Amino acid sequence: MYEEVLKVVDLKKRFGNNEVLKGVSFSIGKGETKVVIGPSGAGKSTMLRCINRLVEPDGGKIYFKGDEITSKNVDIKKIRSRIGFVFQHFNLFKHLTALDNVKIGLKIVKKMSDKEATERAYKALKMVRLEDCASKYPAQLSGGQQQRVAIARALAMDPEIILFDEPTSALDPELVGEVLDVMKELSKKHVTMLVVTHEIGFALGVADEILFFYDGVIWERGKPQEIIYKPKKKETKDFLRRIFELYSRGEEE
Amino acid sequence: MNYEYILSELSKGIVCTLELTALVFIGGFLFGFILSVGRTYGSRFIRWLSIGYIELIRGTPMLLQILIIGFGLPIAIRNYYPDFTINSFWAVSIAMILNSGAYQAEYFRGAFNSLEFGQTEAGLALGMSKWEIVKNILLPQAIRRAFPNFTNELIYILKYSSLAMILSVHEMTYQAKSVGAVTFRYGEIYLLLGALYLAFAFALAQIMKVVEMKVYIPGVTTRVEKRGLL
Repeated sequence: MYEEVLKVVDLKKRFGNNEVLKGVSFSIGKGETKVVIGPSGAGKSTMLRCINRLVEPDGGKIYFKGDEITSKNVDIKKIRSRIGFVFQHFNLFKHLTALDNVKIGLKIVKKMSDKEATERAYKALKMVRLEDCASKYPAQLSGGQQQRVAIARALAMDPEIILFDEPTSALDPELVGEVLDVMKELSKKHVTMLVVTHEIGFALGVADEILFFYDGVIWERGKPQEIIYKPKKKETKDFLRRIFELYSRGEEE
Repeated sequence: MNYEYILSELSKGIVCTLELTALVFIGGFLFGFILSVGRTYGSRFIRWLSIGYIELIRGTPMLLQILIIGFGLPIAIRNYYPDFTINSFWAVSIAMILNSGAYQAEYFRGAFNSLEFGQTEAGLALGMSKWEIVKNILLPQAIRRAFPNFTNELIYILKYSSLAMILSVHEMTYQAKSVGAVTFRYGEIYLLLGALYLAFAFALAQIMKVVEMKVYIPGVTTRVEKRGLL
């Protein structure tokens, strides 16, 4: 049964003279994974940040579980606590151990007791296979481990959707896999996810739909197989060719 | 020469100087934190108020500030409350806290501004309020980054507390001067006084260094000297 978690209608945003989003509409159902691809500057990150209003949209509406969250009198803090966000640069709290990074939202925002928060944080760290690193500080972890802690931090809040903003773009190539594996598992467990990424393999494997962003709009959308192997529009083809060239570089030489 | 008399008078002064130093440092720390949060995260009105205050304090001599709080203000207040008096120790403490707060606010501000915005975004994304982020995320890191400045300020306060003698507060310098006036051994007594300040400044710096090491978190600050490369 389709249950809508998020609906974005005609979302618009401009920075000065630069119109970044020119009217974006889509929706995500419970348990779905949607992947957003597209060239840099197409508005992908801005779109994600508009959803939890880290960036205030200029126009359009966003509905979260049926409630409009774009109006000014919405308690956005409450909404944010139900929407997970995973950043490109992890953004872990540097003065807190991995465990405390996961706990802090539970304690401060969800007002859980220390015991309950610890239990839940351990569970979340286990899901990203980092329970052994619980007492380490972010600076003592690899990039891939840091990003997995960041995923655990989002997961522990028991969000209704998790937004991923290029979660593997800042990682060394050999660390990308461990993060994608965790995300694939979440997708299999039907965690609702909206993922901005350049990882075409991931998109092919788990996405229910791919949204190709170009010039501030959804230029083309469809099933992963169609978008990746049979794109209809020239811009989509050009973008995918560049991505494939990047990944196959050296093989043909 | 009555050494016992000299030592007992000076040690009274030592206690007073250390009390004043501790009080001013802690008071200035708390006040400075509030000022810097106002300046960095407050509304436009609060921001300008904080900036105006900091410029006013930084731009005028501390001696003048002590004189105004110690002599000028009580006279002004007596126009309305004729029985008003203020103990000179407290007058100096208040003046110095008001002064040190302005400086410590800027140490905090520098540290707040050195923290990358991503952590604030992460706090917001979890659903935290501005003040929850300042208190739980930014402050613990800012204090660690500003630590060398706080050590500086503590030593400044130790030495500037000698200005309290202008209000006849019986701190170290005042006591040394009065002992000198009785014994006429100004030279030796002032040398001893200098040695005392030096010893206390050194001791405070060492204590702060230990505290700095104790609260060290890898990644929040870097101990370049431990890397052995530079």
